[in-house]
Amino acid sequence: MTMTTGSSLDAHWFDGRSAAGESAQVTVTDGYVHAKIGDRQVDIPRSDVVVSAPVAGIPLRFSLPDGGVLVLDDVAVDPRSVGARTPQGVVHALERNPAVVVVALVAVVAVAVLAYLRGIPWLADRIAQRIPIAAEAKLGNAALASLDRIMFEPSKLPVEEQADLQARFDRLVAQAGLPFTPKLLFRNAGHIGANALTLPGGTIVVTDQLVARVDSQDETSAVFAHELGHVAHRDSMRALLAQSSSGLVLGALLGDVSGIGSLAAAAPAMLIGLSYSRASEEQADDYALALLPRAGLSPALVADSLEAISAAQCSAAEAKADAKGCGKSRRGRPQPPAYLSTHPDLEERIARARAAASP
Amino acid sequence: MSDTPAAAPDRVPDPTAAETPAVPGSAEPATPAPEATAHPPAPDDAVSVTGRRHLRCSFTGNAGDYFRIWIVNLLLTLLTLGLWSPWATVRKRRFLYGHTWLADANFEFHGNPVAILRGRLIAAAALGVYWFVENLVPDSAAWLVAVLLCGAPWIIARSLAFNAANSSHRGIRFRFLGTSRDVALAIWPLALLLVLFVAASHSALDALENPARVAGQLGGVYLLLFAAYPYAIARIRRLTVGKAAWGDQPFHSGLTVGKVYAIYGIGIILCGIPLVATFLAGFFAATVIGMALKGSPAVFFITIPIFVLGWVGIVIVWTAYNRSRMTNLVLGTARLSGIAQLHSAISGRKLARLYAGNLIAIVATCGLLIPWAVVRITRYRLQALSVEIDGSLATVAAAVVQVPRATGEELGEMFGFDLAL
Repeated sequence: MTMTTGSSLDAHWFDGRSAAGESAQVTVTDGYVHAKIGDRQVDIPRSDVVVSAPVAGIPLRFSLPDGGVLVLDDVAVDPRSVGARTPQGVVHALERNPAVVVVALVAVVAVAVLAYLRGIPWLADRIAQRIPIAAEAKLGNAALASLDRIMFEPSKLPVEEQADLQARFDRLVAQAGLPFTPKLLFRNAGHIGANALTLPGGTIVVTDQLVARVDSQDETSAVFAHELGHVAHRDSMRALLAQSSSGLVLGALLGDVSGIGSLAAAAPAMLIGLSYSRASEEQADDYALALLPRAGLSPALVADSLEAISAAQCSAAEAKADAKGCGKSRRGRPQPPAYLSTHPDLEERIARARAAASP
Repeated sequence: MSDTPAAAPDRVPDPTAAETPAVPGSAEPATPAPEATAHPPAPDDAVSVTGRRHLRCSFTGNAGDYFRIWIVNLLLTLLTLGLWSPWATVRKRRFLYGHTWLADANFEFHGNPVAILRGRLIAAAALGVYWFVENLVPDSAAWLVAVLLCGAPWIIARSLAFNAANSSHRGIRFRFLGTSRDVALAIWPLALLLVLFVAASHSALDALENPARVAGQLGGVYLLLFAAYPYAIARIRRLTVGKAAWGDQPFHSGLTVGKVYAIYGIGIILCGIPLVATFLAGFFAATVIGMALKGSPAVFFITIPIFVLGWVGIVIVWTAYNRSRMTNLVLGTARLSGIAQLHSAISGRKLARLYAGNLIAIVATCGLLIPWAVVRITRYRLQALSVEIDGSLATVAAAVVQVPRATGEELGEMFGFDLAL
């Protein structure tokens, strides 16, 4: 047997049966690992010894066939010099290469930005389109039931007016060509005021306050068209999916920092929700701009209805008594923050809708 | 699996600090070899007059090395659509364990990434089913709660066993001897309280027109939760320490419920300080600035940041106080059989400063400084840890004997569940 040709390395030896250790010297040659443990000399074929996958700054370990382990004292031993050939040695080499680390940093940031801008919305869209509308409707019914308990009261609109608006809604739906029939509901909402919302499953709720706020039934039609855009794009389902998946991804990435990490993750998750809703509002506006002309209405109504709704300082009673006067005063006023948070950059949307409507 | 009731807020996720039931002393070879150049600093084992020795724990990892591992493995995880994540976990954990030194020897994590991958695929499937049922099947809440209550103890027991069986020190594996039944008995009181809490909050929505009754009901449940929470935490902590073992030597927990109540009581009072300060500052800002701006909504832009800052302050004070005192208590009352006593001396103030710095760094870099934060916290927690042994190192270590190989199930050879508990 050839004796040591490589240099001798100090090590600790544990027999794997008790925690008592002993110091040892290890030499690795072509075919063998030679260890001098106390007074004993042990020679083990190289192929029977498992060398641990290298990790920065921690000592290499030689696992012996009898359950014992030799732990090198010097943490700076080159894994290749002792014949470490584990697949993770490649990963270790990547981790130690500064160029790879810089590339990884740039790539991770790029992937994060791309996932945020494109990946998550795209995936949410794909999944939302595949969820059966009947399943979604159950979700919407549950949401409506709790809204009815907390915020809504039965509508006080005259039956004839409801019928007129329903007829307008039906004309738009006929032009929209959706694969299912959306439902229109009227509710009186004292607290939230003028608003229209689309629930999962294609149910559109319009508040009495909104009907009172807009200047004409044509403008109500524009609101319907906008909400039908949300229905067509399955926006409520998409938002639900996008927010839960981004929460999941952030949780997984930030998961290894304790306690405070969840706090740090909360803010970006909220921002993600806000910016996705901004994009879907604009898409719903575009949908309305395209749908209204097909139903024989002017696309300019989109901007008109947005302006009417943005005049939140103007009460419904004022609007009925003196629609014009109130309309003049409302333009200059600041919008209330509560409305801004769900309909960001209303001014921008109005300008956009105006530009798109004027040929 | 953050839904499992046992993932209680004050459990310590740092793998090195609490999961490896931080380990007792052991022997030096009779004739220590001359220290090699790069060997980590030897622990200062001070011998007192009575022959008891204090072995200090140390952490030698640096943030730069950990960042390299973190970012490269994160990229590999992204490129493989998550399939690499078990390998990433194992590399990160081997770094954290391997840099933890006690009595001139470091810890080792042996987890098999393939087993962890199988465990995660199962967990992901379960999560998908859960999401689907919760959101799309009406009236499923009661069933989900029942399934979670029955499934959680099994998963948690498997996870504790997996983590223990795959950790070793000086060639001897750790073990977790608790059964699903033990875990169930420890977590169910807390889980049932949380269920009651959620149920009460839901039914409150049905009865909004009767505010007095709602307040009474909710208040009662809140009080019950507050009153029983420390008791439940004490049970869980006694279980995780008291059912752990290193080789053939079991750990014992001398944790008493009264001390846990004291920690939670003082913690609530401490958090009252930033809470009151926030409300005073917010109220002051809202009235003074509100008057100056004559009711303009711009007042929100000043008061909202005050409340956000106050909220962050409360979270930091609470987390730092609670974590430091609970870790000190749980470890300080942990004994390894008759041979070693653990001590932990984490300062709440120091931890609060570390948390505040970490939070700023993580938010400012969109998470890129997470590895730096992890290393800072781990190093501090481990430096505060020491082990007191009675008698010579050689005798103490020789008394710890490996128990024949754990079963495949205990090792998680098929499915490795590695919840951060």
